[in-house]
Amino acid sequence: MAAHLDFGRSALRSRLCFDDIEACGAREAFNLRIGPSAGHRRITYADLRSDVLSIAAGFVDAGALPGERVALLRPHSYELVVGFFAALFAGLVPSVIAWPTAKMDAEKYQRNLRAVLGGLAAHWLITDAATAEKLGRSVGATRVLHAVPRGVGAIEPRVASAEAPAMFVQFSGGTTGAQKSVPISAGHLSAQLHSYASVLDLRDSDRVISWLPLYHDMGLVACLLLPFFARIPLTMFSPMEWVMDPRPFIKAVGEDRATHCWLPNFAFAFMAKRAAVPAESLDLSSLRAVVNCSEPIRAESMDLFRARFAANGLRDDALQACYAMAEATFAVSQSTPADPLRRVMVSVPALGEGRLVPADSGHRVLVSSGRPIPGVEVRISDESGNEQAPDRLGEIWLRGPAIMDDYLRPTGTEPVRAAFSGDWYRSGDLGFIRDGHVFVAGRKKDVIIVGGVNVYPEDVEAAACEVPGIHAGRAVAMGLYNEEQGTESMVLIAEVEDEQTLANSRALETHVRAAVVAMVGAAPSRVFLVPPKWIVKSTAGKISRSETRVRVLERWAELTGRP
Amino acid sequence: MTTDINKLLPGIREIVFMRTHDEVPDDEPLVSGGRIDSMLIVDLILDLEERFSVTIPPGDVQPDDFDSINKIASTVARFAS
Repeated sequence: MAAHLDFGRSALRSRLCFDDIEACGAREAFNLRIGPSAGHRRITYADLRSDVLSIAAGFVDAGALPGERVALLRPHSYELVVGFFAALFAGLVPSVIAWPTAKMDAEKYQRNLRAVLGGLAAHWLITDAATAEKLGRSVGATRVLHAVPRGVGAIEPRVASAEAPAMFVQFSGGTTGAQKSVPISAGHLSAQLHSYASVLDLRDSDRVISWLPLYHDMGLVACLLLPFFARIPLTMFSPMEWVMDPRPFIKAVGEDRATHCWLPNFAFAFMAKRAAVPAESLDLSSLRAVVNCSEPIRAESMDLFRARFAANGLRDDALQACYAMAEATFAVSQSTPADPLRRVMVSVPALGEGRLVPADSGHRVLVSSGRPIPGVEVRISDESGNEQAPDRLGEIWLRGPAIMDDYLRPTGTEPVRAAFSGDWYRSGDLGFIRDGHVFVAGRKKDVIIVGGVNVYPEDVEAAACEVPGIHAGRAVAMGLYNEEQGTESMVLIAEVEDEQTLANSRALETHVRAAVVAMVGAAPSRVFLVPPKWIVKSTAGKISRSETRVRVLERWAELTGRP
Repeated sequence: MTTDINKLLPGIREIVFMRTHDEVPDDEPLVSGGRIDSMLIVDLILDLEERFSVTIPPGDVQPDDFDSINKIASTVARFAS
């Protein structure tokens, strides 16, 4: 193991202070491929140190005191990265807020921002001049600064004690609803990086390539903090530029000889579809790990990516999977080339009863997220908190030195460790362990319980979408509590492809019902066929079950009045 | 052949509404105004291509091309033929 792969707390502190600058100063920290024409801009550790020290001095000059929380609201940029490390250097507790969020409706925007900053109990908000002007000198109790002025003179590192409860704060990943603030200590980060780098078999010669935003744990921990503390280079793209044109990103893999890349599931299909470049300019043979890091992992997205890029040198064993969350600092489990991700085809009705039965009809392919990484204990629990045997479904509980101590409780009145049972963190995800691998089957709260049987909305939706006339990918299933029956009623909303068919939709509805019963073994109590674009999408671009549920309830009379 | 932008507008307003959950004026900035982020644009592009049967070629568009309902309509019209 290379010397720099010591991730002990004192090693992290020493690297934050750039104590190793004589050894690493001339080496590349970042290749910034951000901005028009996605040109190169190589930043060495000496460059980075100089910028970090100057901004850290600016924080001190502005009056920021050790331990104060700093929210960074900036576009994806080198300046954002410098601001993050400068805050750490100055002993502050940074967090990155999603950009851009400056809604034009100033009043509504201020209300949202005040909620985020209040949840963080942020002392400082660092943003650009235009946003700062809109916000004024403060938002609630948070002081607004635009672009920290570079400080003058030397500054001694004030990096917080390794025992401090928070080194930085990241946000839990809900697609809707209020995000929770997760404080990560030096101990959490140290445990995570030590364990994860060993599973990845990280080497001096490795390089990470990323377009991920820094306000998610995947972008921040896996794609910024891991390479920074391992002193390996990072090729950095901007999310928006990647979206507009993913081709420079995929070409840069070969140009920079990148070895590691983390992606959400949708990016696999997006790149397979939109990264058409001449084969000779594409070389993916350097990639040792392209990690699919979202739940659920779709086998078909991975297959599309593999089929598209296999001829460009993409190694089969580079396609990997990871189960991760902000509350665990990042990774819970990870597949490796020696122990690749696994697939099981299981019966959907049996899955609903909490059993795993191999099946080839009415089936669903589940993809594993690898084995728990060292130091993370995973346990599957039933409703009463009893540990489930392998191959039995239950809620995924986690324990270990990289798991958060608790969410931030800014007002101090929130319940203490409400998401914990003893020393176990209850993730809210449903899954099982098979042959030592973690399989994530869905979110606990989305499961519909019909007469004691668990039905997964994604299975109902998939069945509905296979019926000709129903718009692919545009169906939402949900459970509505039925007081009379004391159980949930399954309600299915599906968009038709052509609004004309709604005039006489009886036959189509019958087909949909039959398909659902065949798939999950339970019948929806109501099927609503609706015109195109009726279903609400979340800000992540996925169908939003929770917001569609609100819409269904709001329009219940109108929906049920349909002949 | 030119595509009538006015005929595109109702569909685009709907696609935008499904993401912003809000009635947005046709000339209001969406990207620079923070109503739509990079993750949402992935989905917006795939949706526009499907709904209007156009191909929006990567590299020929900028975030500004999606920065308002009016601009999205011009962008779709540019690639429709």
